[in-house]
Amino acid sequence: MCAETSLLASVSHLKISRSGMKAFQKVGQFLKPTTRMIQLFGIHATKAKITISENNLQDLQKGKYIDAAPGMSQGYVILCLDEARVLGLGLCVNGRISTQISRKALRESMIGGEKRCSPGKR
Amino acid sequence: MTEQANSVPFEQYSDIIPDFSAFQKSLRKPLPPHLRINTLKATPELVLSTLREHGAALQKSVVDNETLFSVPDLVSPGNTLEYFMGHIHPQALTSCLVSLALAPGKGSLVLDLCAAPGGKTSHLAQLMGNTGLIVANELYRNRHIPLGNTLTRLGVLNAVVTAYQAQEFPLKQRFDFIVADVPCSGEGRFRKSRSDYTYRETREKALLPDLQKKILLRAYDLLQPGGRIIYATCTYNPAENEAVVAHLLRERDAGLFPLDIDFASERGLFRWKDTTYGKELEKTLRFYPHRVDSVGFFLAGIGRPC
Repeated sequence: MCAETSLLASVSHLKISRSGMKAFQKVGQFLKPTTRMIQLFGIHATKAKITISENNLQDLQKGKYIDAAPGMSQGYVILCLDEARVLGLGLCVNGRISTQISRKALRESMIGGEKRCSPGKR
Repeated sequence: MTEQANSVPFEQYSDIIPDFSAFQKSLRKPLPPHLRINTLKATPELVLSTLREHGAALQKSVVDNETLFSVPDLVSPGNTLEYFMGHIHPQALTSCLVSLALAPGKGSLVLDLCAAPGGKTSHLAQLMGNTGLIVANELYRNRHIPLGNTLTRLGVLNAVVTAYQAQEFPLKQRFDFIVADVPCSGEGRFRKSRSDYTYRETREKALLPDLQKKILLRAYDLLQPGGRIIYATCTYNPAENEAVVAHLLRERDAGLFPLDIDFASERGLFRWKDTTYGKELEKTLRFYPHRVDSVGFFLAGIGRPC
């Protein structure tokens, strides 16, 4: 995905090693949105969105499941902390949600705000 | 310990660095954490309220700029949820001034000649609102990984990456705006408290001015008439700063434009030791750590006549 494609023609003589942002990756026969694409555009989604707490997120990143809202359809869901803070993708199967966010990109130490500030300076 | 740590670092610049003892004192302090709020993915209000909720005290770094902050008590800005979500980017304050000084217009064609690790490229994209096109050039392919990670994490959609030698970047297309943040001796990053950083005079460093001159000449040849370049280094060495710009002014019809940055800076040198660079060089800016509480930096704004 790359903005202003009309300008790309002006640099067509260059050897490009990478362009724009990877929006999807192929998983089997399905296309799965990337975390970064969801973070950028998930804010505009109107369905398949679930708001979770930082505690829920911590559990998910440890490999645990959280319960889906009753009636939530199976498949990918967008995990958010609130309306404006989109985290990435989860997968809803049989009423349970697991995370699809890489543990390398979102380390456990990143979750839980208070410990990020040096003590005594708050 | 470095050889410089036991002596007086940068003594050779004692005649050009104002308040040299305060400068020396600043080298004993660690580099303070600064961050840039990435408006491609979040609003300043959202980020400020979240970080403040978590107890971080943020201080505005530049008057009239809502995105640049120092966060003295945030242990590691890169280890936060805001970092993961791409809402913030830890970046030296003086490094942020490059994109602000260039001020690329929306929809323009921009070249970042030495782009990794991507802080300035993503800042340019932010200022352009993800419009236009940025060619982020980085010679070393192993640096394309951190460059790519930075660009995707921060939601940059208007960049392509190339791997040319900056001084030999193909001349076919001219650009509206160019960043030449060239390889330099990195003197401005030196801190006595950083055990992972050593400052030494090496033979390689002596070769840098020649490379920098070649890169800046090429940058100028790639510039559209009416276009602008920011030449930047994080070093105090006049041979890598004013001398390189003076060389360009001798070789091409380039002009310097005054940099409109409301931030503690000193004028560039028009003369040092036995070398005269020219009065014009006073339009360039020098930033010292004891004045800006960040990395030492040099900026020159270069324009091509229409």
